[in-house]
Amino acid sequence: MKMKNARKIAVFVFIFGLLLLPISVQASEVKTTVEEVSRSVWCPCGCTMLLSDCECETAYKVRTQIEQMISQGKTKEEIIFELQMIYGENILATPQKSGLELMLWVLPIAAAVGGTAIIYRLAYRKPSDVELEEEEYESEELLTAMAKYDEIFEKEYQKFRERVAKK
Amino acid sequence: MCKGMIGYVSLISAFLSTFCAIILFSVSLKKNHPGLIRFGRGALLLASVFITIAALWLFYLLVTRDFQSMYVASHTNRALPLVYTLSAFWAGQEGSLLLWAWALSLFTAVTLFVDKKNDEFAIYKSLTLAATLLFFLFTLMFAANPFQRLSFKPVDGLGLNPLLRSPGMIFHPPTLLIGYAGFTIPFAYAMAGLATGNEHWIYRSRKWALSAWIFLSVGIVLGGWWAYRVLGWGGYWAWDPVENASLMPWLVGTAFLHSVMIQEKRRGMKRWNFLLITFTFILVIYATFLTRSGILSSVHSFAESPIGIFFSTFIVLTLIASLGLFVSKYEVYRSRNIFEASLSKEVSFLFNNLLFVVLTVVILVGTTFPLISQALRGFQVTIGAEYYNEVTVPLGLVLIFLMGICPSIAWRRANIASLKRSFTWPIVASMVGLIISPLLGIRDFVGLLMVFICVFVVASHGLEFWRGIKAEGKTKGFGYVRNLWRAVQKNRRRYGGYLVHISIVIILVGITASSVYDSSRMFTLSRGETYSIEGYTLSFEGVKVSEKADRAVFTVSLLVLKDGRVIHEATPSIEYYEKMEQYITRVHIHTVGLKDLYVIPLEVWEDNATFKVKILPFVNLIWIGAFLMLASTVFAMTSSEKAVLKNQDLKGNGR
Repeated sequence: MKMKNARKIAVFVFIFGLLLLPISVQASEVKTTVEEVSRSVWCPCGCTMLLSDCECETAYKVRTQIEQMISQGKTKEEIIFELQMIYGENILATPQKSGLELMLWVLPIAAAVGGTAIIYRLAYRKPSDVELEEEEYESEELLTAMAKYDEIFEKEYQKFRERVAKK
Repeated sequence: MCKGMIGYVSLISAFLSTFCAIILFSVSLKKNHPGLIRFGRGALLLASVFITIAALWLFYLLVTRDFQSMYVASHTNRALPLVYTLSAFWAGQEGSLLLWAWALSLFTAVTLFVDKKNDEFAIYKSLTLAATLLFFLFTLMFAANPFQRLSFKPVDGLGLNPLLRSPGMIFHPPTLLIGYAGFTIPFAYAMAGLATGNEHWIYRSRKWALSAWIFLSVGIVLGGWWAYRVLGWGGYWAWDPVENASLMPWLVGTAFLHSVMIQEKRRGMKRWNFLLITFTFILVIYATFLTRSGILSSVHSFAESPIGIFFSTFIVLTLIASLGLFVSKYEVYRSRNIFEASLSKEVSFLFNNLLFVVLTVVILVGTTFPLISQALRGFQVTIGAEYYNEVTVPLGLVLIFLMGICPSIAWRRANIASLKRSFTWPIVASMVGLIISPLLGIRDFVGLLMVFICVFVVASHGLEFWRGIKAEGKTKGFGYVRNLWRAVQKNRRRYGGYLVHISIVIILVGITASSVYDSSRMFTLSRGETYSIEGYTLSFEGVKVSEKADRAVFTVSLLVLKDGRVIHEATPSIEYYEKMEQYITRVHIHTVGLKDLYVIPLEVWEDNATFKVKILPFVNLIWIGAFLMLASTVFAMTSSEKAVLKNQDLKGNGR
């Protein structure tokens, strides 16, 4: 019985691990590039495009600013913070992992954990009395149907034997 | 009668007919009089006739360029070609909502013709459809009237947004809206099923759900295709709020299409299926609201409007009605316990559903976050692609991996022997794929992970096909091809579904390869200068300026050379619309096999020009895969209901 439980838990740990794979499969940070930073902010011109995709004059200007900041040795976080100071908080395209935005990062994990827990509960739920009664009723139905088919088979078989005997 | 009145009177008549139908159906629920139900059906059919008149009238106003109509004047002008003038029907909010109502009214009429029963189930179904139709007619009459008239007659209209003058826009919005409207039908069946305790709603709504799913899928793919060819940034999916809005009902709808199998086969997950289709419908309404309200900043926000309060109220009322019914029938609509082991098809379907739902929740919260931020902090923070990619891509990969497991795992309880039988060869194939990958230049982690998952899924499906061939061979003993054809013919739904899975793998390969292994360069060339990228040489030949009725076009001539030989002339352009004071970039895409050479003109002068050129390998696999996916879904849909019922527990069971 203990072995059985251990197997159940192992299966769920494996599947849950699969669900958590997303967290470990994130691209590792290498050297900060203009492309990398400009994927995380909106173009301040109001075109609703990412800075990396926009080709307007404002986008050029901001990208040059980023280039300068990189040459000053600033990290991605520092550059984004500085851009926020210049253009306002709504320039951010990737939510921060703090404050209200933290909700966006926690939610997928919470949903996956909650969902897995519900599935675990469902998968190992004991059938209720009503369900057991229903199953019993269904098997009665099945037995009645089988008895009917047995009867038909017997009749057909009898006819077949009679025909063979006549020949 | 004044020109504008015909359309509006048709809308009022449709509204009154629908209202009468609701009254008649409601009364007939208490007094089961066949005459009342027949009248109710007649009133609903009459409403669809009136809406059809209104829709045709809007087409008439567009074709005759009646600029006194505010809608025609706002979205067309004399210079606009006829085909785009017709497509202006769905260019604005009012026309889009009319198209929604029109599609729904026609679907409703079809259900009334197909399903002629006058039982309680039919009444509840018609009531739900009529109530939804009534909402759209109410919105059209009081908040988004497409037949509003101007007090004067302008000489010309403002014209269509240049971004919408693309073949993609002729088909993308209508297919998407038809898909949205289509999901109302399975929702209506579900409501009727829940209200009457009739479990057969799941069969009767199957083809409707699949049809709506097909339209929605086509709409989404065409949207990506339009973005790729028109928006000029070399991508097809930007996680824009409106794109997300269409993806959410698609995800929940897909979860529904999977979980109905559990109800059909094992009579389980009845409540869950009802919730899935209800939320698909709610998300469809939410998507229409987001697309056309302009509440969120998006490349699709062409207008802002006051429809928000109408849609919010309808969403809340639908939630109260459907969840209220759900709670009141909670005990009646009970599933039996179908989960016998953790390793079973049932549990794998549960995880599949969980992933679809988690993905939807992530996208829903991300899309709605600007509104949450606005409400709590006073400013909007729009979430960009990076967040969605970080969270959804890995979840999607797990989902795809599960796609390789679900079809091969046994119902009820899988044992070690059956798992070995089902997954040994797919795992071996994946390992072989991993070994070969470095030889093909795939050495990064994401690439290798993709190879493993994709090969696994294709191999596990291949094994299923092989099993089908073997089974046929045992009984009939024809050749492999004939046996395969017979197996597929016998179970179109199953094998159609497998082909959909394989198509998704093809799409995935296209997405990964074009986004991970793409290359992009930006450069300026003077006349006669060349630039080389990935084996191609681009030679700038000059600029041609041409004046059109409503715009000036600056077309660049860029010769594409390979091994010193001219293989193509790229002619990207920049268009200037004087009246709108708007510059539009028209990219040039040169397709070589599965790869695209994507040329974006950034700045064009008389003797020099600045370009951004992208090489997108395997990008065309996305469109090929999408086409295969849709063809496979249509194939799966052709299986008759009898064939579906043949092996089900529920055959002849009205519970």
